Amino acid sequence: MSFQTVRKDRADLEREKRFLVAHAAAHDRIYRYLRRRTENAATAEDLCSEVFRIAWEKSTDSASLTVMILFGVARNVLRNHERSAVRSAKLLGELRSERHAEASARDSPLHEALLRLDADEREVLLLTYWDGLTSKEISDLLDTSATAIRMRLHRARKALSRLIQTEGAEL
Amino acid sequence: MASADPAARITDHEMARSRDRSCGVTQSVPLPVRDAEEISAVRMLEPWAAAVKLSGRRSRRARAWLTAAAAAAVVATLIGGDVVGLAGWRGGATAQASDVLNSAAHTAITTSDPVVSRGQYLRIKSTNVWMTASVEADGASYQWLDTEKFDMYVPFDRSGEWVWRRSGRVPTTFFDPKAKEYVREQNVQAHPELLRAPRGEFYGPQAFAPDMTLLPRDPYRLLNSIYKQTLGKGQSVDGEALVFIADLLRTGVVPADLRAALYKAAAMIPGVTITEGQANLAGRTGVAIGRTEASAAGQRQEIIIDPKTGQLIGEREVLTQAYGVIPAGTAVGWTAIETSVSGTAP
Repeated sequence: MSFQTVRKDRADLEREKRFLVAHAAAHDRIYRYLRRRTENAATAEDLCSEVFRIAWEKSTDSASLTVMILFGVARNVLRNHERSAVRSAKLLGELRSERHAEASARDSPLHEALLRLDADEREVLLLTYWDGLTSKEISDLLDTSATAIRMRLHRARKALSRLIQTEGAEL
Repeated sequence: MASADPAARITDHEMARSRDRSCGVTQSVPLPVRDAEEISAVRMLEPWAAAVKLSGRRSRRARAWLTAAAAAAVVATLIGGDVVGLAGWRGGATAQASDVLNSAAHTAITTSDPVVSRGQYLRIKSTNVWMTASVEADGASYQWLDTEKFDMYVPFDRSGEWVWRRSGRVPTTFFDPKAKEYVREQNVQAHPELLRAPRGEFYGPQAFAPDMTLLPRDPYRLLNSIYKQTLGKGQSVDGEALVFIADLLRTGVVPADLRAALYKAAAMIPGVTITEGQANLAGRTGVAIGRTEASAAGQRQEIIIDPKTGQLIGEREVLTQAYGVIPAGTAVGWTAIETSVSGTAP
């Protein structure tokens, strides 16, 4: 019986090794990041697999797949997803407003307040308190200075507490 | 703020599913076949199992040794990053599968093993089906299934001489006339063998089975040690853990207490479900308990047990999607096992 081979050379082995190590280190954090920003588990799973597919394809060169680089990929994947989600939501305008009403009825005052925050401020809050990134990491990810991030975080905290207080008064 | 985190509601199962799927992006080419050098590398890594791992199994595990190189690094990362509390960290089997496995474990403990006295042998008869995939230089590929019968005699004193009769691989199942013609042209023949070796070291100084006394009997610790040995191999962490358990059970020399612990450990592996209520293997009926890989080259690994006696009847590997000419749903590898006591050996 002849067995012929799909051979892998050394570079391929190295590549696979790098990928597996990066995957083990980053998957759970990336998945949580995506899950927090998407409507359901299936979408998060799709996006997460897309992140690692891109990572796998990009890992052909020797660039290291750090957690932060993967966060960067995840952020882009998410942005693309949101863009197409907005497009389809426009087409399904009615449906969307229905879903929105349904979602906000379920949500806590905190979620409500988060939704009302300025998008940049909200993102800094979420990256800090949910994703556990440092202000340095956030500034790398969002491509601004760490000082700007700290300022934004400060403003976001204040805005959030103000919103929660007003919401509370309304309730 | 943290208490409002939607990610707090993520289940272990959900996380594990995404982990498997995103890790599977490297597996776009299904079932690659290995060459001799690679096979020997696998033997180094999986010494005791090498003797029973023929090509169906080999081809499926083509990635095992690639990833094994990274295993140590992955283990370090996982433990260092506190991602892995190892066993139990990712959830468990479905309630139904756990029930069957746990009751099988219970009966495995209470029913004793066949008693082998001095001068007698434990006889393990098995029928094995493996897949062969052959690729010619011109790129044409052929797939078919082979059957091989084993008859193993394990002496009372395990350090004594073991005897193993192997029928050799006989091509038995074809899915297209092309492969049948190829087998005829290549004059593929079975090579029967009668092997003798002390300590079951039929192929070099590696024993047929690992030292069973070294494996923990506590199911949680056992599964931990399995994860440590298999992490980074195979298609997924959990899939490979179940393969490890099936490999061990297939040897037929696992004592009842360890067998019970292995069933309980299997019940702790996420994604393990009852895949078939009434599975037939070589005329015997049992319950198939298995796990389907989420990756592109999805396969289902199953162990089949008789829930009444806690005995392992065999194991199977089923394609969840077509491979070459072999249709989805085909069992591309299975083993039916029967153990008894014999006064003599060939």
